Amino acid sequence: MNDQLLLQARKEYQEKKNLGDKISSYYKDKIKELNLKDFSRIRAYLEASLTQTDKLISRDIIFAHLDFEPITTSIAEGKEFTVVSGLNPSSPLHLGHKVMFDLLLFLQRLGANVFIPITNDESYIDGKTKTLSESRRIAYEEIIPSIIAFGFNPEKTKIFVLSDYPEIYNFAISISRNVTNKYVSTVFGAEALDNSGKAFYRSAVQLAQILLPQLEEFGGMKNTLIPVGIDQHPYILIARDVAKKMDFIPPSEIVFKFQNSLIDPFEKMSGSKPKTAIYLTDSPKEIEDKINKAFTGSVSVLDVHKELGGIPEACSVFSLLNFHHPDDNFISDIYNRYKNGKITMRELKLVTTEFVIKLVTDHQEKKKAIKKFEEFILKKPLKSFL
Amino acid sequence: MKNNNFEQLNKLLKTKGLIYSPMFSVDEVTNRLGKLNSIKIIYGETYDIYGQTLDSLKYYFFAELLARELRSIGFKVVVDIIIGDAHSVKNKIVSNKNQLLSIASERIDLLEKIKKTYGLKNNIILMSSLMRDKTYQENLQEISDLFSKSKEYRDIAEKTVLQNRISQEEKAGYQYVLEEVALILGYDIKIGPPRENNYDKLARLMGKRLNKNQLSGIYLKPTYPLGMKFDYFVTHPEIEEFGLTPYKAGSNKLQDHRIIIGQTNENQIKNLINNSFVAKNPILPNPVFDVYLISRMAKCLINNVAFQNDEEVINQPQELKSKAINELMDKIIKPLQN
Repeated sequence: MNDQLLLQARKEYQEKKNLGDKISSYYKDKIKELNLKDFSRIRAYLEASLTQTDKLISRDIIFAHLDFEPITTSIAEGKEFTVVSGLNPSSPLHLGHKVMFDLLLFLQRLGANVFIPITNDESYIDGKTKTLSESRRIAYEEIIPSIIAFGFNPEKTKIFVLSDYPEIYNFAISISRNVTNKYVSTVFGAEALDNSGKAFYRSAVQLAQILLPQLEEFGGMKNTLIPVGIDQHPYILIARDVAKKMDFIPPSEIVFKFQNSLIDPFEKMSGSKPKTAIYLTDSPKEIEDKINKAFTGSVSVLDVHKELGGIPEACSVFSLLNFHHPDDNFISDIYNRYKNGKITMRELKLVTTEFVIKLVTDHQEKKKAIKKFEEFILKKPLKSFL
Repeated sequence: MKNNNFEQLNKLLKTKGLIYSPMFSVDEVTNRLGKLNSIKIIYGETYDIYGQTLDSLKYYFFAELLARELRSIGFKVVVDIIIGDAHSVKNKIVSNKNQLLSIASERIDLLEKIKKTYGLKNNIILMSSLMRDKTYQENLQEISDLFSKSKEYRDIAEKTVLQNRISQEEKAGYQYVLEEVALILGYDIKIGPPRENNYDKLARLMGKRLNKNQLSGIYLKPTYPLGMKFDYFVTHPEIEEFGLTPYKAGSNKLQDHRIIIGQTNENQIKNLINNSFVAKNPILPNPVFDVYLISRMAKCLINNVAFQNDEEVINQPQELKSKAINELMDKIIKPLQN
């Protein structure tokens, strides 16, 4: 074989290894930088105590927390607790969103009441949709049926589209005096205030969603958990500050890793960048094409791959399995075989494509069967702060 | 006559679930012991009004098993169990000092019964009587002189007390710490919970300066409360790390979560054990396995055989609970009732 080609493949291997190391250290560095707590200690207790945990726990996808300890008491005593996590409806759901919903489902199995705000106001304010009505339409036609198809329990799940639940804005008004624009711009940057909607949303509406379950209408003060990606951590800090000022219990936080972008594993999958994501609306052909074009942790020369192995940590294809395949033993086996060069990239892509197509098409079937979802929609009037 | 067979000793010192390994090197101890003919072992404990904990028995039993192994390889071994009557009332927050002093004799009576039941050969010594001993007083004087001149010693002493008690101890000139060090100076092995490491460190440093025996610390795993679900340990990281004071039932006001000899009845024992968090993961607290280990040590002592661990049972939580209850009742609670 051409020496030049071999040399290049070894160089490529080193670059991918460096990328894998960079991705691995990113989360460890964030824990220190943001003064979060490593989740591994709590993971050990959950694994020892629960009859069944979840891939998100066993694979370290939940990697950090802030004040999660009170939630463990609710879990241990079988008491209800509340989880709030939403999204803005600017595109169909993708596999990155599914990670969050898998987490919400796991927490619901542990006793959580789940509140899911669909922030179509935010989509519009941030310019992700042309009109407010467009974001509202996406919410009802696309997002809510897709969420319900994941299998949430209607008795323990409340979904609300912000523009159809104006009570939340009254609550936001009652919060607003506790947060200054200066504080918001310090935390999020000046661009967070570059239109009046953003200013109100970031300083009050977002916080109203987090604190909502602690209103009298929902039983009053309670432990609330907010699962977030690392970029949303500032919201939790503000919410905890405001909660203290308003005599609510400061919300707890768990932080999960991003589903890696298909084209750059150091970046996250993003709904506004179609090449980075597999949508839950994608066809089998689209999925196959996207996986075939995805960034991999394998070098381009097969003999060098067999000799040096792959870098699962820097592989957007392996990441799809790692975040979504339910079987820990399977993942561990694939990880080891890939790392040791015992499985080729072609084989990995085939396995992954087959798995993801089934995952997505199954979801599409379930979504099709969702005809009504009134029982999930939160309509409760809010008066306690008026 | 010493032989070189440390195998059984090493086995005992490496018992999983019993020895707090990060602070302890078997080689260090065996190397040092190899140079000695006679070995003095100390275990000291204070107490409170709630009674004799099962967890104290772990230390008595381990001291005896250790002594037996050392004797079997040719050492002359003395084990002293010090009952810290004077130290039990030393703390300012202790209000019932007279009551505490008066129950020292009850404690000694129970200890004698334990000795007889399990064939322990240790001496039981009251701290108050030891403090009148001339050697002890000379030790105390010497280390007090050394202590007053050393910032290093003061820094270590500071680590032996809780943050909120540092100023109180400073005012008292760290008298409690110095008395503790004076007590253990001259011994070869001290057995205790890991939280006593700093006393031993101080004793080693000062002992070296005073040409005394070099103390080896053998730390047993921390003591944890029974009847707690996993969240207790998650929400109390300081208990997870350091445990409770093994010999004080009222440590952290958790007397209802301890087994107290002669007081905790069978139903309470069953409730405590059955409602306890049990982990297969050996790095997590496992108070039920501790009960089981103590009961197994008791069994070995009664049968006069070397200690055999049964670490596999940790992988069967229900079986562990059931075995812990049965062995505890058969080998400790019932024999000590008679």
